[in-house]
Amino acid sequence: MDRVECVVVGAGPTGSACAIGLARKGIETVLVERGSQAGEKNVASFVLFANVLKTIIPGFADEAPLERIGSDTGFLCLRKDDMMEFRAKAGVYYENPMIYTAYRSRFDRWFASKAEEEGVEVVRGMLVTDVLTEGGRVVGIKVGEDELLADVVVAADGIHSIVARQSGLYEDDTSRYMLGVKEVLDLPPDVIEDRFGLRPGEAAVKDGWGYPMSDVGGLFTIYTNNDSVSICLFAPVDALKAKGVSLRDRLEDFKAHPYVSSLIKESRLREYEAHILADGGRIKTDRLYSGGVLLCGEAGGFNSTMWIGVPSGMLSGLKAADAVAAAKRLGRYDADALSCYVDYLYETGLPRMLYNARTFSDFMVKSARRHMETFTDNLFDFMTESILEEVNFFEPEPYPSLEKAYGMFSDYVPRWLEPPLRLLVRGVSKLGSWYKKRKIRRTV
Amino acid sequence: MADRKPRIDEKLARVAFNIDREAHITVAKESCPGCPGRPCLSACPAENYTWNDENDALVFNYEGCMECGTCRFICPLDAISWSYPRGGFGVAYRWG
Repeated sequence: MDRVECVVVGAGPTGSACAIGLARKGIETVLVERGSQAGEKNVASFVLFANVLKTIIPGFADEAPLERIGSDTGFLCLRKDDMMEFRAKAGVYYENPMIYTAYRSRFDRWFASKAEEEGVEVVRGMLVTDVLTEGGRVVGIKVGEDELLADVVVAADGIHSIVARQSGLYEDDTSRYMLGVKEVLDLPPDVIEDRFGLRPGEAAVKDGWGYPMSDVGGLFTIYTNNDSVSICLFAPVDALKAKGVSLRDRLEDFKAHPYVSSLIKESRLREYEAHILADGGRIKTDRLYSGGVLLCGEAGGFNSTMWIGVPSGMLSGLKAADAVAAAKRLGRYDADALSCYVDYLYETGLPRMLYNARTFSDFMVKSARRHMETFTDNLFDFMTESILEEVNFFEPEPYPSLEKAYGMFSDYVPRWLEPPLRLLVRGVSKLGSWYKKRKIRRTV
Repeated sequence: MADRKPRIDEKLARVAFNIDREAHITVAKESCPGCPGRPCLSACPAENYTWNDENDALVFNYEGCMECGTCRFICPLDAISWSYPRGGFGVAYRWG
């Protein structure tokens, strides 16, 4: 039976980052990928932050298969026929790019090849089906009938992580799971730049909420590659189950929205994709490692719709590599020796980030998804009617905006406080109106 | 535009698959007729699960599976057992 020092399962950004980290520390590493190429199973859902990548491969910008620079960011809010956008175009990020768009299928393949250059043995087309255990400790992996012994196994095999499940570390909590579907639509580069108002090589990256997902609390993203536009729709898996919602139908509704269709008209479908992700990660730090096994990337729950999974995955992979190196110095790979993984994680901002992401995700699950429709309606009323009231010459009492603004948050007010607060808001609104009229009468 | 909703097979025709002989999805179909809501029919992004009214039975094909794994989480009766296809098989995104 073959034996290596470390096996990394999954050649996504996390696995490759971990393998590169291990190889640079002189640890003999095998990287096992189930796709016939790295990245074949992966779907980018939004942008790629280069903050961690930069520390691994400083010259990545010249060689990585990146598409465009994401310096034109926007938040969108949609209603059936309406659109509201908050958009930022930062000159500094165009000059010194930090965010990119990329096809994960191409990026991951390139990144795995970088691991290979560092001396990692990359095995493709092999599905790890089980882990080998001995005395309650993981001692290797099984690929069908074949077995490979290893001092330590790093699980970077994504949300459905077989390694994490088989070593008893993973429990499915579907409340934070989101299903994403995506279409990649062909459009010529000049049409994209013209339509989205972009500088050469610049990407528009927009995320948002509202129609057609407000009833289930879903989200969406739109971003541009060099010669294609990617549109993604996300919905909580629990909502799909409870409400029988079909995301593929919602995607068609989304594409038919006047604003979205103005961006993607006359385009041709290049590829249709789907993937599932866990929003908000896992901060139960005692379940990130066990004897002979470490979890990183999505397998360890390092993902969120707010913070994007690639950089956090890469960083967790690098820290796992550090932990393996530290365990090697100790000469043992039990849970105690590997527990330094968590300490290394705490030296970074990852736990704080995941805590924030999880708090936000739980807020979405428990409250915001339910109230999204009311919030969106009131937000639109506030935005549109605040313009209207400025030109409403027929109405002597044109000051309803305070009440509209209150309406956006009224769902969050405790029920017993709601009537007096509404009365107060109305009172202040009326009082303000009376006071202003009096002022105007005295002046004009 | 969008006069007509494109059929799912038109979309799946754009996706590359290395189809395995062995199915990576198995369903305990006998429990399906009594299933509340049958969320797999609507939730699967590839529309791999359909209902045959004549036989009152679930029909599924694993060949067009995009490997999101949603079905393993949404089946109310835990009748769907989904796993990854064997190494090298299954969906192969070129523009993922």
